[in-house]
Amino acid sequence: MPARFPVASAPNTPRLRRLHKMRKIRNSSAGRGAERPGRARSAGQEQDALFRPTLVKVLLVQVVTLILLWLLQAAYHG
Amino acid sequence: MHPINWLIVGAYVAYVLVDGVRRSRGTREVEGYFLANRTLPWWAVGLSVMATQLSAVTMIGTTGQGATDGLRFVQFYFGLPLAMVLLGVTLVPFLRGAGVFTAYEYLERRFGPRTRALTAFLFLMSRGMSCGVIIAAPAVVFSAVFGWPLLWCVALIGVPTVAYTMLGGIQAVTWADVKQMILIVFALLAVVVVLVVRMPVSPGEALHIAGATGRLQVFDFSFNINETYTFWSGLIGGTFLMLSYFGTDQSQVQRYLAAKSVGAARTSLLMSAYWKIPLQALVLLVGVMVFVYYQFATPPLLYNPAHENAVVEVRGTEYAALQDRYGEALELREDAARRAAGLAAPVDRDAGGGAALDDFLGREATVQEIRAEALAMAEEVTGEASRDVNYIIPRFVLGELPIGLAGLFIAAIVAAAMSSISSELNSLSTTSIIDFYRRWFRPEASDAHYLAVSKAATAFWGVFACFVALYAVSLGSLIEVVNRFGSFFYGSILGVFLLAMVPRARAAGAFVGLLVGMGAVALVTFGAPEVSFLWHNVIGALTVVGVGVVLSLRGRATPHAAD
Repeated sequence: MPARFPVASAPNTPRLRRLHKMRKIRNSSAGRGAERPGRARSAGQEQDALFRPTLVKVLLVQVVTLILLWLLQAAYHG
Repeated sequence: MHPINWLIVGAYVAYVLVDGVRRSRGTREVEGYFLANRTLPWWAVGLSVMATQLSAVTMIGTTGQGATDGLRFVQFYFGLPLAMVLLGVTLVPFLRGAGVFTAYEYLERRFGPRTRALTAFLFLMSRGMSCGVIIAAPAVVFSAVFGWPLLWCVALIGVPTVAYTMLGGIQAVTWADVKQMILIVFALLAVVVVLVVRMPVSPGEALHIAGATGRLQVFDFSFNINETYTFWSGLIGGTFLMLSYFGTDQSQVQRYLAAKSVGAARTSLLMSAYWKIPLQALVLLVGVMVFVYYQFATPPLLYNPAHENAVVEVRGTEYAALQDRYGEALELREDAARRAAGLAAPVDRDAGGGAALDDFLGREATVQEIRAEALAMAEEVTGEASRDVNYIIPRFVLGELPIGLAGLFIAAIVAAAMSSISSELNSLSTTSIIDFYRRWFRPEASDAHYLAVSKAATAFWGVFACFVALYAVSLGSLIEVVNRFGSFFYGSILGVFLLAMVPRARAAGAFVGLLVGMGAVALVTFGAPEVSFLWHNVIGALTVVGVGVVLSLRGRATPHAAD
């Protein structure tokens, strides 16, 4: 079971309000994080998370490669 | 060839054999033999994936294509990076999670035994034949260049490859691939360095000459489905082709199934995504630089020595006259090339650059006309289609490279052939044993039994491939039919795998979809032969998915037990 933190029911000072907000975040699913036991992300979520940065990186490298090839063509072709 | 060069080739072949035998000691069970107990690091798998795809055809044919046609062939690979990313996030986790030995084994869990058996059978037929062609391509060239019988050349490439693949399984194949890939890249870079050093013009001027003849044109943005080498064919058709090849062809799937984790398998595929296009550009650039080199050296009129000898024997006088004309044309072209490059008169470059360039292009056209006459003569005399382009690099290597480097390059050609053949033999054996023998004939047997049968299967496919290679020359048209037959189902098999990811897809829909997909590609192949083969993969895959989904939705929802 993931750890739970007590939440004050009626925060009435700025410090308590901040603490309350922080505890709410820590107790939320996003705050507890995927790496904690019992809250592992699904395979689909993991794939999505992996997909975006990898796709961006590969596409960036490809774009740079294509630009270099285009520069070679532009500089010498014809 | 100089004895030192032969020594290098011999040392390489001996090393691969010894290393293969050494690796066989760690292979005691089927999972180790076929999948290295899923322990291989990502970089070894990545290099093996690249080495499997890079065959001797690339080293001989693609470099030759660079010399005659320039860099535009590189567009063929524009879809590869995207395909690798898509496979990394979809199919790789599926197959790894399923704990399968072959891609087709997974299909049974999803769509039943019929679909598995059909796809595995199609793979065995096409890869078995293509393995023979991969041996035949360099063997035919070696036979013509060295004047050896074809049988010897097939044996030089085939026997050691079958031996180390049979003994060491995927361990031997992968680690040999790693060394072979390093050797190939090193040999290509060494040739570039030698070309740059020996060229009588600067690299910039060499590129200027190459560019003037159109050999540095990389991009063609026209949308023409009849043209194979365009940006869009490469990007769209190429993506589907690479998805089929890397996602459903056991010779590639087996590489990343042997990786030690899903992450390692994904990273190994991304290695190709990053490096394939630059590597292919390097291969083509070697050809382009050889073309420029021959502007200042004397190239043979016919690069294929066997054809040259045949023409001299039958029409010697006519050929000698043609050679005289060729010699004069070459001299004039060399002068024009020096002027165009700015070597002879650099101060006049701006003033008369345009005229010098036109003069050079005119001289180049004359040289090509004379070569066309010689090629036509060779075709008449030998009755064979001219494949002179495949002999440009071997002739250049043997005639122009220094002692030692020529041997290294020949070893690299043999390495490229071996790396592809070994992976294919290994995957053919895996599919034969896992998808047929163990599935249908002996489901319960000891590991030792399966291991022994797997080695026998590797030897069988090796002998089969060598046999096909020996007859590949005389069965030229049959091989073409086989290749065309292969293209019927490549995209369709991809369609079945895509369909497997659709939750509502059912076994009957997949099986019928596969048959309809192959039929659709056959229809396009014969009905509209002008459509580039890259689009066959798109048509096949989309037809299977479309038909499969419609049939699955229309049919009664009778999910397969393992759905």
